[in-house]
Amino acid sequence: MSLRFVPLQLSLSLSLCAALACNVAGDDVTTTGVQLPNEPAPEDSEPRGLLVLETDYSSTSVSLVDPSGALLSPVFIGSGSADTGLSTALSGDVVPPSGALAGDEVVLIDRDAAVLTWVNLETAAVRAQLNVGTGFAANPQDYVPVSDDKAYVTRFEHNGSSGLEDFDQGSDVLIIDPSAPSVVGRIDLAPALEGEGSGHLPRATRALAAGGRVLLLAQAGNALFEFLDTRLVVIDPETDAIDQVLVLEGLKSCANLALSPDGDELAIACNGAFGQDPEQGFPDAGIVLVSLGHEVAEQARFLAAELGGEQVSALAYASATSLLFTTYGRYSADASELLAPDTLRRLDLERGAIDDEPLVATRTSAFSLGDVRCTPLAGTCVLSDAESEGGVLRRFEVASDGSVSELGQIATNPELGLPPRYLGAY
Amino acid sequence: MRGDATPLGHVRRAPSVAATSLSGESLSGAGLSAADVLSRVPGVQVTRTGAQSDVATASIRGADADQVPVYLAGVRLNDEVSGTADLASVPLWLIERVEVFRGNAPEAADRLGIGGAIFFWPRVPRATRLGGGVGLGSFGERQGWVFAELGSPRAASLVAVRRSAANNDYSYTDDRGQRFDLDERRAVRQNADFAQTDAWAIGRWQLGRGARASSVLSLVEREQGVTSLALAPVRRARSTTRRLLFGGSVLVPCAANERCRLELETSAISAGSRIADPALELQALGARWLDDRGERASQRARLVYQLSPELSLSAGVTAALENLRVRRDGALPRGGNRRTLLPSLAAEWRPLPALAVFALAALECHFTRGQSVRFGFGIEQGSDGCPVQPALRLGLAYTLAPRLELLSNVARYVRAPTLGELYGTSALVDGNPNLRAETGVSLDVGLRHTLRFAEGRDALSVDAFAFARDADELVRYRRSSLEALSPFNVARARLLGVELAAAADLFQHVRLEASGTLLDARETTRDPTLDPTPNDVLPNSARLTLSTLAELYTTLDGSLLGRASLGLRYFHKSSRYADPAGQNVLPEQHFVDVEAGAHFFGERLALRVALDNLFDTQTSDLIGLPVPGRSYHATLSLTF
Repeated sequence: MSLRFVPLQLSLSLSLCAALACNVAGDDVTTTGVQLPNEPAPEDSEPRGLLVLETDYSSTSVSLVDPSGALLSPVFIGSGSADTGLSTALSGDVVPPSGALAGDEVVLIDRDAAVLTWVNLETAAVRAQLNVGTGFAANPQDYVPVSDDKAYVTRFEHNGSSGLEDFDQGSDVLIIDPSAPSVVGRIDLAPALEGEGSGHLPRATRALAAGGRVLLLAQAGNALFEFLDTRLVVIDPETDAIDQVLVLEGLKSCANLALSPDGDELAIACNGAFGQDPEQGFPDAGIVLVSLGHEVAEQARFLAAELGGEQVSALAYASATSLLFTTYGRYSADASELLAPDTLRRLDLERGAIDDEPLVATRTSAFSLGDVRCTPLAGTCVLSDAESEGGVLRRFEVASDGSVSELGQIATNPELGLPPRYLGAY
Repeated sequence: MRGDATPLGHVRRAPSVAATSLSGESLSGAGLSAADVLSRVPGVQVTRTGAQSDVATASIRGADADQVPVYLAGVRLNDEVSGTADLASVPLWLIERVEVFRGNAPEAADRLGIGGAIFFWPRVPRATRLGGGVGLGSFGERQGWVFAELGSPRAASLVAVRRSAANNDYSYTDDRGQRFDLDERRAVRQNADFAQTDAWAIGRWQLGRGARASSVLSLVEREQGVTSLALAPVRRARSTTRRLLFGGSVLVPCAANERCRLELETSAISAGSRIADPALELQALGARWLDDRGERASQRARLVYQLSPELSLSAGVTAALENLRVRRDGALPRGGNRRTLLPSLAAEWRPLPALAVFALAALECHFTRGQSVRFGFGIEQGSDGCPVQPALRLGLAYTLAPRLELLSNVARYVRAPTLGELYGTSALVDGNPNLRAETGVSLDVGLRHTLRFAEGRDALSVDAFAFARDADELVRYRRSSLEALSPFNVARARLLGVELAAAADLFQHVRLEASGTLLDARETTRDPTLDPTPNDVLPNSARLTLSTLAELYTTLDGSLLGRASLGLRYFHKSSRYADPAGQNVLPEQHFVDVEAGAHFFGERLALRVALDNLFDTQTSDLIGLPVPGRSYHATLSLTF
């Protein structure tokens, strides 16, 4: 064998290696759906099951559990469920809709790619996808089905170079036809900021349907992420027009909402402005209860000082008189010490006070507790916890008096190991 | 690798180190960029974000790009924000030699770099001549340059200026983020154009009695569109970059018979960039403009003494001052400054004719201060004294047979945190003043062989290394407040690999080159909270990279046509994960390039053409950032 042919041999052997062994294997985990009960569409307070979105902010996988947290499908769909091209199947920033979804499909909102994905619950097959970016990084936040051929998508970002595509202004509600799917219109939310100076945008975030109306949170922020008081905007889906705007005076960055079991009340979580000094007690953070009569109206307010002194994150009704909520932890100025853990707490709405001790507190990290979701009629709640054991779903039982006790925890997708962060319902 | 006495270029100033030298025609191809050149070197993986004017970085042996110092004319280009060097800012057209030190940087580096080091050396003026050239290419590429060189054996100088630009309006396959429900269409990269001016002034002097001096002055100014992810095209954001760089060196013999010499090196760099985002299309920027500027000045002195024919010692010290200022629309300024002291000792001992031992010991001391922002107020922070980090290397070179060497190195290196990591760069990225240096312990063993055939004209070179490295205290970003991330020393990694490079010059008309790297890069972080995923293959690290060249050439002395060549290149990068969980797999890459060149009237007129990405492969190195498809490039240069 002549040394003259070494480069050729090297090339061939390395090419063989490439073909046989050097490529990495894609995610070959089998995705599975769930058997759906042959029952009518559920109410928000009694979902058939929950979606658990696990993410490390680089990729996402979705598991399905029953309302008590028992695992139904460890891998329903994920970033590895389709080949990577210019983009990935699901980015690391995917959330479920706030409301429970009826029918045999769930919708995933990929905020990074600005894409909605409709997935069949029984087959785990994707029926359709729709890009709702209209040519810019729209950052869609929520999806509210209105009818079989109409749904709303809230979009946070504004398009500074709009006019190149239809409906590309942003910071609005996009009207889509989910059956096609296609974009069919938009609702301008600028009137929700009437009377404010220029420069602020509606910055629509989470939304829910209740009592024939759609309720959405508009954070009212400018381009530099400085926020006015959050608005609760009521939209009439018959006319696609704003019916009412309720300004949550003094509260900022309200980003989560939950519907009471009877559907007559809305709880809104506000985490307050970014970058504020904790010594000031987060005066613009808290929980607001809004009655959903003919007109929506604020009926109760609990400021952060009454809720343990930290910024409020997610919330859910455990019962008509019991509200579970999470708070963000925080670190010391040099990030070397955990000054306050993330917590899960219970607010007794009858007493108007929180329980003395948190139900859950993280040990070493902040920003590890994610969504909390309850099924009041079943008396169960679940919490996503990204700290414990690398990420688990914690299960709770709700007693008839509204008190809550932990049942245990479950790793929803140990094969991939991504920690759970977000919870949806179907 | 062409242009050397042996087919495979080695670096002689660090004899035990796995190092590759590229020069001559290897750096002269039409449309060639610094990133292209480095992607052909074993052990190096290049990551591109788009066209040649967009950011590209290099990693060596699986080290992150911020662990690889990159030098232009001896001046480090890595910035104090990301810690990386943008290869797109290296103007290759006046580069005479590229040295890639894989895993172990030479003593001359002011950072010994966990991953090694890369040096770009500009042309040294030698003769009196004038020259210029023009270039054209796909996607609106155009360039023109002139230079004047004045030289004598005692002194020489060179001034050169180039203007280059491109529209970079290449097409790509846009999936609109719908990988399940494919609705692919062809789209055109927008706002990707650039225009650049770069100028050089280089001088060298023989000062008598063996003393010599040299200086380099380089200016680069670039204006370009900011492209961002293809899924959300950015249309109006622009950036301007300006970099002024000076390097000067003096070498003075300090004893007879050249047994002693003193080396003095001075360098200074001032670099700044401004991004203007009038339509607020760049969400991560969160401002209408961002302005960051940095300066660095350093002085190095090194005394080399040959104690005996078998033993030489050197002692050096580098002192440097640098600062960083980051200003953003509507936000308080951030930044910091650093004072660095780097004393080093090195020895080269040849106890046997066939054995050489190399030792290097250095201490890195970084004293930093910075301005962070907390709760809307600026605060001053600083390092607690001057934490000292040792860097050590022991290297062996053993001649097994004529032209066959066994080489080995064991080393410990560090990467000091950048000022951006320590004190933050934006409202979204806070600093961590408690950050410690990343550390790496490495071992490599290699063989280097050159074989000459009949009449000493045909030759074959092979260079093979196996390496292992354990890296600790690696920096990863975690959420530290409601709105911001901060860096923490939380991760560990283990890297194993094999590098092979071979080149052959046969029958005076055939040239073959192949280089390949097998890499196994694994996360070894043990805390499940920090690394919850069972997959431990590090993202963005290809297990195999392969570059080959087959070239036919002829050299006709004394005729109208000098050297003429036709070459075919093939480049392969295996698929790799794009995320820690291993869900997203970036497809493997195959590129075939065709290149041809002809010299007329000796070396006076040169015509080079290239057809890159012949099969129009649509791919990307990072999710959402497509690289160009098929493109042609042509240059015509004239020297007289």
